[in-house]
Amino acid sequence: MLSGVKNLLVGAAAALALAAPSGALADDFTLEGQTVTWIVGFSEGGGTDRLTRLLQAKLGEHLPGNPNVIVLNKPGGGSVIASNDFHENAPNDGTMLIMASTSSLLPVILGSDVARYNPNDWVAVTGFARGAAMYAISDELGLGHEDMMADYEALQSANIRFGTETPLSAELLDFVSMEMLGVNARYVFGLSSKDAEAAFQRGEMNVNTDNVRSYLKDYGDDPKVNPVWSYGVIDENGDLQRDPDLPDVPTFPEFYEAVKGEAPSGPAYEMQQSLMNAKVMLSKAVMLPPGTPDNIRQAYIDAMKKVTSDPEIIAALPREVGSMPLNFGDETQQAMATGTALDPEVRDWVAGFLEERFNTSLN
Amino acid sequence: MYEAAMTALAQLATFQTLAALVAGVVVGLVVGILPGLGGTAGLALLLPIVFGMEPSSALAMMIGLLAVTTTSDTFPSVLMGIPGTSGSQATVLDGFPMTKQGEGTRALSIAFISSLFGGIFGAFVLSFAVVFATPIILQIGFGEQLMLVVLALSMVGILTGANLWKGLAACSLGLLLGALGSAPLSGVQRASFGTEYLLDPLPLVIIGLAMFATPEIVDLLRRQSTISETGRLERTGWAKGLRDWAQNWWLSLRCSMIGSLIGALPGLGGSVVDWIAYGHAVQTTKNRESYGTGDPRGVVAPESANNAKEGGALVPTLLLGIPGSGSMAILLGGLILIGIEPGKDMIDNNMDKVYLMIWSIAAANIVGAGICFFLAPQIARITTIKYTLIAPFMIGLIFFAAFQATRNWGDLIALLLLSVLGIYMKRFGWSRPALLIGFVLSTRVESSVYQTVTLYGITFLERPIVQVLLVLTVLSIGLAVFFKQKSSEPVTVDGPHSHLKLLPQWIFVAGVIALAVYVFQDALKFNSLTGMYPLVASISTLVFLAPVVAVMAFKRAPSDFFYDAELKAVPEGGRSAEFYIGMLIVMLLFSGLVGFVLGIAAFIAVFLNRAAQVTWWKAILGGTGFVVFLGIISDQLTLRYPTGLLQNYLSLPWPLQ
Repeated sequence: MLSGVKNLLVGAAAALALAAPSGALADDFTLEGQTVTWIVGFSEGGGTDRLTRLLQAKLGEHLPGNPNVIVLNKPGGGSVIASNDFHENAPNDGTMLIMASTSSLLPVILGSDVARYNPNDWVAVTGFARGAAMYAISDELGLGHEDMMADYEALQSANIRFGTETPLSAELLDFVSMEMLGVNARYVFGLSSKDAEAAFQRGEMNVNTDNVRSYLKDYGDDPKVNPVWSYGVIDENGDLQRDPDLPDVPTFPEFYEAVKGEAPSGPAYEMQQSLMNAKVMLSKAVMLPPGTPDNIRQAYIDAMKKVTSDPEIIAALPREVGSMPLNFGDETQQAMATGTALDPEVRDWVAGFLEERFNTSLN
Repeated sequence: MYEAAMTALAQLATFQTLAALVAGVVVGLVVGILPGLGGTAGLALLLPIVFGMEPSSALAMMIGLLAVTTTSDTFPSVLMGIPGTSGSQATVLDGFPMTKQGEGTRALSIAFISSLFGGIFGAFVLSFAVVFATPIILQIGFGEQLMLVVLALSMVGILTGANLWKGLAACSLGLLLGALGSAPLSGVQRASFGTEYLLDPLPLVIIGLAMFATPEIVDLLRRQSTISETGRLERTGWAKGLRDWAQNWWLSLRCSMIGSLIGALPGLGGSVVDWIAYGHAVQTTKNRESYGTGDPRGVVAPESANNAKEGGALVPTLLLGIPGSGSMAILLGGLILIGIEPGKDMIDNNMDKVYLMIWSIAAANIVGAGICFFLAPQIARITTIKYTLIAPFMIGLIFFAAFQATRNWGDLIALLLLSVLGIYMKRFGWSRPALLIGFVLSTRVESSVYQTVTLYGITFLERPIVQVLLVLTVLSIGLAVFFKQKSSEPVTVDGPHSHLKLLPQWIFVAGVIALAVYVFQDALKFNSLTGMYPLVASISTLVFLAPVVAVMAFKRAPSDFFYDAELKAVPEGGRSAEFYIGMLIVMLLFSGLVGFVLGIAAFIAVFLNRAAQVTWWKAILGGTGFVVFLGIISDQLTLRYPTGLLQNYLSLPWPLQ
């Protein structure tokens, strides 16, 4: 905006470069004079958009040839429309990438037929992990005991009110978790996360879910609001650990084991872990289109490593970068593969659960 | 508090901060003028720039942008009948008729002074609200939000047009259009006509353009040579406008209060503020017959409210850290970027930053209104230019604007189809404001009814604020009942209210019924979370249509149920509305082939040559100039054009992508 004329010249130069016959991409990959389009499948102002625009400010500096990076919002269907288009039409020459989020993975995990894309075909650059926890107004539900069993009994008899977006949103993780414990809640739908948060602040809801850093900021020093469990984090060996920001709070499987006397297992738990992976480990993911050559992928990985270690970026992203691990390249690809590969048996279970509990079918 | 306010004023008064504020204001004015873009899009662009800036300057820039989009959006609303943002839709109702009567400058003058007053009032409210508003906001639960929605919906009562039943049916049709696309309570896709585009609900921008912009463009092309019917622009409009405002300062103050209140409370959102203010003006003033025909009060009310809203909307954003709108969400992101965490901490520790924002709102409103006043005499002259010279550019602009809603070809097709609806609603006397209010509130109606009933059942009526709102709603409906809008045309057999030649009206009504029946049968497939709302909306549409159909079938005398503008005298040699609809279809088909840029350039050139009798080389220059203009705008605002088949095979140089 402020450097209008410069932008214009860069744009014109980029156009000329695009129009010129492009030879095979050499190893000395450069984006000099080009415009890189970063697709966001949501409207301006959402969490994914904000994170992307922040990273956008630095990405160009670290990519070979210092291209002009722009963010393009293509909202629709919780990023499904943008993802379909990206999967089918995006050029794989490094000039287009997408910021995927938990809601881009959900339709794939659940096998919904509106999603014509498979994020496993996309080429992973970086995944942002972000801890998640379920928290509650303790007094109202009778929580806050030393002993998990006492909390559990209180939960079973409490009148839980939980505001969420839809039966098929990322809060499915919380629904499945509560279902496994046999805890009943009154779910109120049609609330975006900020609406649900507002209703929780008013006390109209008494349970809420959010990322751990936001929880700590909003309620960290409020004795009336406490986490019930966190969803933990998966370490490099593939084991679930406590959330580093909530070291005293049990993870959901810990809670389950303490109150049920056995470790969780079965299709419900597999579903729970798959959703946890999508919500926590791949809260946001930077992806290139299918078939992107390795040298381009490497250039992006190198650039994202530099961007995410930039002190200014770290300072500005207290909720995204910090104690939770960032993953890159193969790691991200692996997390994506694990999270979206589901046994048909597990999918049947979730279909049955949604049908029975919410009278909702997957397609 | 006083100290923090003074510190903040000192921070704002540095050259650097003021320069940032003015830069923000300029960007805000630009995105406000361009239809379809508003504060959200503008602020999103600033976010990467703000990153790394000094906090005071960053704040001043962001607030500067947000505060003035609803000042400049008045230009297209008043001068061309095209709402510049969703905050100034109601301004069209009286502002545009004033322009047509040659009083464009007067209308703009009223609008800018009202915006200025409203904006500063909003800042004033914010400065007190940050101290004590938290407990009040926390009182507004689901039940209260539901009643706010109902109160807003009751404003339809005074916007039904000459016939109550047709007005209510139009409002229901708006609620029905809100049922298309994914259901807010379940995310399930319903009534989508089998298209991927309707995975989401229809964008409000497109409905606004289709209801006001296209019908006006077509009508003007057919009936008039210039926007101003006299072909002249009154020179003394400026002073007159200021006097108009001064005579209505009390109305302006009330509407500013309404604006900042609705901005601050959860539940309604910014896009309905202008309608509520307009409704309030009609309900509480005398000589209401002149509303809709160019009454200055119809400009004062929405323009005071939509600027006051911004100060109000900052209250929950700053106090609770919960944004009330898309633009507030980005602002929140921007605040975190520069190291300010909204919420209680901010009030305790960063009070000077809060006051910096308050001062910035006031300053931005002064600078913004000043710039608008300065530019307006030049811009207003557009109303005296031959309309055939302007129309093709307007058409290009609104289709380009519509495409920015979701950047999908579906946006253009939706605009075309809904424009056809808008054109015939205008012709047959169906209230387009009523449809718009229904549409704006549709999602709110659906969610808040369900949420309130799920949580409280009927007991929400026991809550005191709910009861107060209920009384206000009853009053509002009562005022509507006593307010009988009369048609400006005599109800005679040879006028537009004639009972003869009803066939076109039958076709229109049949189309609306077909849509309602489609939504109805589609809704039967779903569970109540998805299907209940479309069921209710389609049934209510059919119920309100029933008397209309009955009268059309049995009444054999002129009546205000009947209306067909075609039965009025049409100027000789004018083309039919259908001709212009066909023209838009051809333009879109051609754009589908060669992309929007080439398509619109060719359209403008041909139109200028054929309809405006401009020489070929000048016409081609016009088309090319528009494309260069779009190219520059898109580059600066990172917008995109619809591509055609051609672009799938060829990569074209700037600006032809």
